[in-house]
Amino acid sequence: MKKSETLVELSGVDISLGGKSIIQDVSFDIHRGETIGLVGPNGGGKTTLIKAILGLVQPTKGKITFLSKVQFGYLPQKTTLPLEFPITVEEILAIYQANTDKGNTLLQKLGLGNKKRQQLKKLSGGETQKLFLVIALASDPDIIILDEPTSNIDTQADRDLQEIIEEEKIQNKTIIIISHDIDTVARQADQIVCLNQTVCCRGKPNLVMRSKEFQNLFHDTHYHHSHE
Amino acid sequence: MIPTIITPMNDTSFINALIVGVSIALLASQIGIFVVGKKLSFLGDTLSHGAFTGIAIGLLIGIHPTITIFTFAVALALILTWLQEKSELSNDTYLAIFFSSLLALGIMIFGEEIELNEYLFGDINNVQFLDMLIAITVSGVVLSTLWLNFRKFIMTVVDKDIAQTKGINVSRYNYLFVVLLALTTAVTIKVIGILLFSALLVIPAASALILAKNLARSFVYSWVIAEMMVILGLFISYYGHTPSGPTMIIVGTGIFILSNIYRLVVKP
Repeated sequence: MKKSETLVELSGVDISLGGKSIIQDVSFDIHRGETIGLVGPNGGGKTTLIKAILGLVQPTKGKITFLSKVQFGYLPQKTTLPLEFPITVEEILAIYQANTDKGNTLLQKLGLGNKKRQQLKKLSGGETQKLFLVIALASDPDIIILDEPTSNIDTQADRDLQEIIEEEKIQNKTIIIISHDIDTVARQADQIVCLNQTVCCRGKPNLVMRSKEFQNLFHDTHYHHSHE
Repeated sequence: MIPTIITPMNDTSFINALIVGVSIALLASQIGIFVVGKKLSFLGDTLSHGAFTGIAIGLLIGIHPTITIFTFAVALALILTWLQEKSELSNDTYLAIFFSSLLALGIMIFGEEIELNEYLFGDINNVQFLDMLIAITVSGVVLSTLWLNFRKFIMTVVDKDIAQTKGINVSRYNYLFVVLLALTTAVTIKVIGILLFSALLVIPAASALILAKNLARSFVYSWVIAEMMVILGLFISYYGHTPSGPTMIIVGTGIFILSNIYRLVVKP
């Protein structure tokens, strides 16, 4: 199989925040059309690494190189909504220019089609997450980064999300998913990167999950048992 | 009815107060929505005290106070934003320190020469032509900058990480916003004083955010409420022989209370 185009190269990336070392010596490449599952324990540096790729945090050492111009679609783990603002779903879509055909199709699919006039502060946690998923995908970005996309949503929305991710994969989009739900990530990812301050193991899901490093890291968790 | 309305309209100082009040109300009501949304009400207060100290320094060193008030307000806004970005202390702590220090400095420089009343409420009934011209020009500049960058400013309020990934330099827009707020402060407090400035900045915006069903309407409601404060306040003070500034604030407070009652009782 022809190796796909490299979009981003991480080489020897260290990140410290407030004098505390969060990530050490992380190196791997991100290819076009690839789905990466980023897993690891809490505090392992997953969100920080994502923020560095997005340019929100600067590496203290090492380099993150973009080999072509890319546009990001980012669904953060938590959004910081100004609760004072009576901003509505349709207004926020307009602000983010997410009122595209794709945006509207996704909105319908995720069951928010009839909530356009609703204020954001009146949406549930799951609905807010779905709305920001629409915003992340509507502009048809090259790299889609989803930080814990299933943390607030119900089973149906979870299935919808899987379908949406499959469709993006068909479009040859690059997707990075951070998730606690390693079974789901394993089903969708072409590559698993296991991060605990540094990359403990990485590769194809079935190989990584059988590796000793992975099993040590997730020892006594359901991840381990469900794939033994 | 007609003759009683005409009376103040024949009074040049009343007309000047009305013109300058209406333009300042528009400006404060629109920037106020962002101030309340970004939780920057206390920054507004600190800037107004700082800008007042700018007047005092201008008088002390013999430079026209209009120049020092603008310079001082913008410099202070930039310093406070820089400190907020760089330091680990909370923003409120810096604001509290600057707030009290600048107030103390202003009063020390002015000494006995200032009427506290003028400091708090300004003198809208004694507006000079130059002040009027500056107020209208600055209102135009600030409002057009705000509206031209409206989408980007809102994005920085909603979620700065997402804004940054959409290619918006959040830090640059934060600095731009505080400069606009500083210009608003400088142009406003010389005419209407510190207390009325804070009131015009926060009361219409807060009432509008309580009442409005969407963001677009909150800007319209805030504008209407600010104009009601100024126009009703001026007429009531003219006929009731009450001081203009405090009357406007009380009108605003009344509207704010009614907005809350409406929200809690009529439309929960």
